Amino acid sequence: MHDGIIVRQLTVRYQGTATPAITDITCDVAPGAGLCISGPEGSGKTTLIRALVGLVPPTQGSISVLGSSPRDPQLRRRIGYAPDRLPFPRGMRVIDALRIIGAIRGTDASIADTLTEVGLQPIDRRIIDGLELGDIRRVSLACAIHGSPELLILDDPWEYPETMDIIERARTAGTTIIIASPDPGGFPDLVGAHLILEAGTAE
Amino acid sequence: MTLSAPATIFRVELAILTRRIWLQIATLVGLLILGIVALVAAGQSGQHQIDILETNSASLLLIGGMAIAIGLGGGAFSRDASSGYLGLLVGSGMTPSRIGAIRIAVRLVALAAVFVIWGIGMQLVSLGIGRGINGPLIVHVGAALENAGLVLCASASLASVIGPIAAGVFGLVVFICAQAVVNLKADLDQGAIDRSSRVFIAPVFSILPRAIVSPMIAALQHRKDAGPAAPTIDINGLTVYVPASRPLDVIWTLLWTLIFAGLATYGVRRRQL
Repeated sequence: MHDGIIVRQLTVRYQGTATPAITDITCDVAPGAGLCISGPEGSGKTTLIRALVGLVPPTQGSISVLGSSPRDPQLRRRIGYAPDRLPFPRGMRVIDALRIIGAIRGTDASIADTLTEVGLQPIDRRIIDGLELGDIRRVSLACAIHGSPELLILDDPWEYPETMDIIERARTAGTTIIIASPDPGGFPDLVGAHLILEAGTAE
Repeated sequence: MTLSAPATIFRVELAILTRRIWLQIATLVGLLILGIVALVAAGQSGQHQIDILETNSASLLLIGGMAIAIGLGGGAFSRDASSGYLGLLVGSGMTPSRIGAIRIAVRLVALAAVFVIWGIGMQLVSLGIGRGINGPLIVHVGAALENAGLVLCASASLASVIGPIAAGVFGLVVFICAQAVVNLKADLDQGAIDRSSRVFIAPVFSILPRAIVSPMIAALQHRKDAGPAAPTIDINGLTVYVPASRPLDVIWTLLWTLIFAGLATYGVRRRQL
């Protein structure tokens, strides 16, 4: 046992569906290590990520993240999570998204520093839904890294130079990193391990 | 000073709501209507002048207030749950039930803010036509707010499981039922319908939420000038006047509002985020 990520024979089936989204997944990520999950659309990458952050419960099997259950809100405050969708309500300002995440995590980290790190203006009061897609994804990435969480979980991040730099710095700092991407590109080399999913099962 | 997570989410989401164009337009249209009411009332005199202000204000609060309550309640969860925003908050450490409670509270505050703005507008009209502060109208704004709060929470209670329009329709149906039981009770008490109906009416009146009727509406009914907010009921040639709600009715409906708010919070817990 360790305080990284331990997934054992994980099966997740969504309510109202006959077929599990993922079946019998087993994987280990040691503390400070990384994992890139890849596979085609519908292969179960996002379901595995959502199970790791406690958004879907396991139908069978078990998950331990940083030594706790993902259903524990205290644990989730230690996770920096960027979903695959663009998760901001209409009318929200960039700075407010960071304020909310910072308050939930209980961090005093500088919002200006986080925004600068992802390539945005240090004091960004723009409305998020008025931004270009690339900048919205930067806001999502900023939310994930704000406060230097112990575990970084990025679902389908774009391969910006800033993204790669952030992942590299996080690895150096000992952060555990999980990345899901349909097109893994340079991510497996960056994080060190690669799990390929196909139709909900590990290849 | 660093605010707690619920306080920060509350503040940010309230700011987001105030940027919603439809809410801004609805609030401004209400004020515009009050401006027209002022012009019409200025040309009248006596009791009729006060009645014009009160009936039209009551109509605005009923129709406009319900529309806003349905919009706020019906749209409380579905879009932001589908977009992944609620999932981001949960994935970052909030509990779904806390998010649900905060979002209901934000929407109730926004609804109250609109009623306060309109209420101030109504009092300015009253002052403008030389009638001073209208106390019954202040009480009526509170009664209408309670009704609208019930609709908002009823809509929100289903907003995590069905679409915003269907959830809004449910909220409206809840209010129609609440008004119906109050009307039926008045019909029964005033002998407009047969006493044998008590076995049906008494239980539903005891159980269901009750629409809150302000003393102003009750008085307007007697003056046959209540407008769409409180039309008199004619049954078998008898005119039925719906009496003002008692404190117990106010508490009972507040309790139902809390029940619906609790159901909304529970729905967010059950929903896939």
